[in-house]
Amino acid sequence: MTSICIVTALPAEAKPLVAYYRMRAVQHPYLKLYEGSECMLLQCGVGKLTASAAVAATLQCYPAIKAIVNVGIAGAELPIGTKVLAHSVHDKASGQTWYPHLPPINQTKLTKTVELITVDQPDSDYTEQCAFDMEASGITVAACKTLDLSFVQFLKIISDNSEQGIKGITKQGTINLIESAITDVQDLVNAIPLQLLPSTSDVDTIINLLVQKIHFSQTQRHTLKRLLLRYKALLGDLPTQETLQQQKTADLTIDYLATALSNAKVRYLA
Amino acid sequence: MDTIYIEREIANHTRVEGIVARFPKARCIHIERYTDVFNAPHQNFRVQKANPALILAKKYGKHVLPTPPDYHIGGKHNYYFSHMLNCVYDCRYCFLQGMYRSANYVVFVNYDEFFDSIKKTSEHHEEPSWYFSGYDCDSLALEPMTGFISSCIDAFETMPKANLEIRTKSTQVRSLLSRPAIDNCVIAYSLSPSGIVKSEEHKTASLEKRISALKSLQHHGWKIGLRFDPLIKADNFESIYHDLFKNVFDALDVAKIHSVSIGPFRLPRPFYKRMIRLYPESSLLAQDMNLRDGMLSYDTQTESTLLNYCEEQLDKYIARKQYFPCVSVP
Ligand code: SF4
Repeated sequence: MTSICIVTALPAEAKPLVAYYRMRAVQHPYLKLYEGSECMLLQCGVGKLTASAAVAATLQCYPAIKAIVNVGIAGAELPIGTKVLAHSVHDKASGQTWYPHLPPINQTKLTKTVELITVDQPDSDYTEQCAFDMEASGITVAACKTLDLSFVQFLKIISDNSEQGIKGITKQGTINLIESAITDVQDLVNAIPLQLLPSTSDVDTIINLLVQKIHFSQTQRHTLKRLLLRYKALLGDLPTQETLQQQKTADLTIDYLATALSNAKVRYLA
Repeated sequence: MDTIYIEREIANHTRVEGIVARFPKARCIHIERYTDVFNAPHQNFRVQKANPALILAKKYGKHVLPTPPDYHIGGKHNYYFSHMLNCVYDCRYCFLQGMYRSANYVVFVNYDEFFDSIKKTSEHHEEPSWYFSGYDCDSLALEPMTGFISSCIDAFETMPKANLEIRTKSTQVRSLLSRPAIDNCVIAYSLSPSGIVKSEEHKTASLEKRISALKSLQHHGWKIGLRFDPLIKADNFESIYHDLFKNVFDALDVAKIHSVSIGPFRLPRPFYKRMIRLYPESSLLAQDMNLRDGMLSYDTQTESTLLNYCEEQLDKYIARKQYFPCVSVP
């Protein structure tokens, strides 16, 4: 299961990415999802509500997703084909703004950043500092229910400006624009700092196995998780599943871990 | 620095221009108020710490605040101020990790308003008053970029009734060594045993380098302070703290040390909870802790064992009048 999900609105935006990442369609009754070895792709549809609902549903179905990268076309008073990162996402209707934590400069060639304004209807009030799209704020709202803003990024390719308006956007033109940004998408995907997230999956696995054998209340589960994390931090490894199962009850398991922890030695080099 | 957020109001401030010029490749993003970025929800302190952005802002409201009651080194009127929020270092016990949502650095560029506020506060008191820098940051670590401490010392030179403590782990002391020492300023170093520095005080100068900086500062005429804070529990606690005290006091002119303090390990409960979520693998944070008055700390017996041992050791080196117990942050 991959940890990064690329989100596009249109089929023409999805197509080059699905091809580049050699993704296959995932069978799902409502979502247009594709899966490859490096990342997933969600084609969420046009508009912030549609986008928000699709992202929320995807994150619920795939809790292993730890980052969202929105790739798509946008309008701004910049040359057609310019690639930009969003330093902020602003919802025009609500006035709300989010600031994604941008990746290090040396990990992406994208030097131009813009304020990405999500509008409900196409807007042609083009400026150099802002780009318009119709999904970003919806994606952000849904993504931020489970992810931090270091893990939600927006890469836009300029498709329309005051010289070439929105009517000039074609399906093939969109495919070409996304194709021209493939290496930038790849750089951005690689720059997502997943390695900085603490991993507790081994502890979660041990708990999931243990609760099948011994009954733990929600509070006891919470205590168990904290004790196991402390155990690993202080003793360097986790107790074996067998050792824990030998404790027979939740209380005895918790006592066993607490005793082991109170005897743990912490030494610092002289 | 890859990303610099700049409040529109101070975009043309000379200090902002100077700082931005040091980072020609940085993305500069204009914002209304620093709090829009710094206090925003859905940030990850640990992830940002690997690549923090700089936020240049103007400080509004109170520039100087009273310290908690036990935060002093003998003075009656004690205040702290923060020209910066957050720190370039990454000490695993640091309360800033639990206090702020963001690891981005905020630098307030309206230094003069801090100094005016200090001046007014000091004039309000008959007796000398104390001003502690380095509460929400390390005072010196970004000095080459901000020049704040240099300006601050210039200001304190004109305020003999106001005393300044500059608290740091940084060895960026060039600016202090290139000017005469002033009498109403103490440069106070936070010190821990070498093994704790290596394991828990990430990105900080080694203990040896801090001692060497202290020596140079003392030699140059600056008053120096030693802050053994926080005391960290370990099975070999006595031996590592014994060595620490010996190394530090053997290197310095002990009689001329302005003040020595020790501080127990304490964290407000909400900060601690956030910190263990950020760093579940930290052995320092995984140790047994007790909750007392909303604070997480070692149990009372462990805490008094640590304090008693350190006080015993300090008694061997310094006079009682140099000692101020339990100056604790926060
Ligand atoms: S030096 Fe001080 S402020 Fe900086 S991380 Fe360490 S404890 Fe925190």
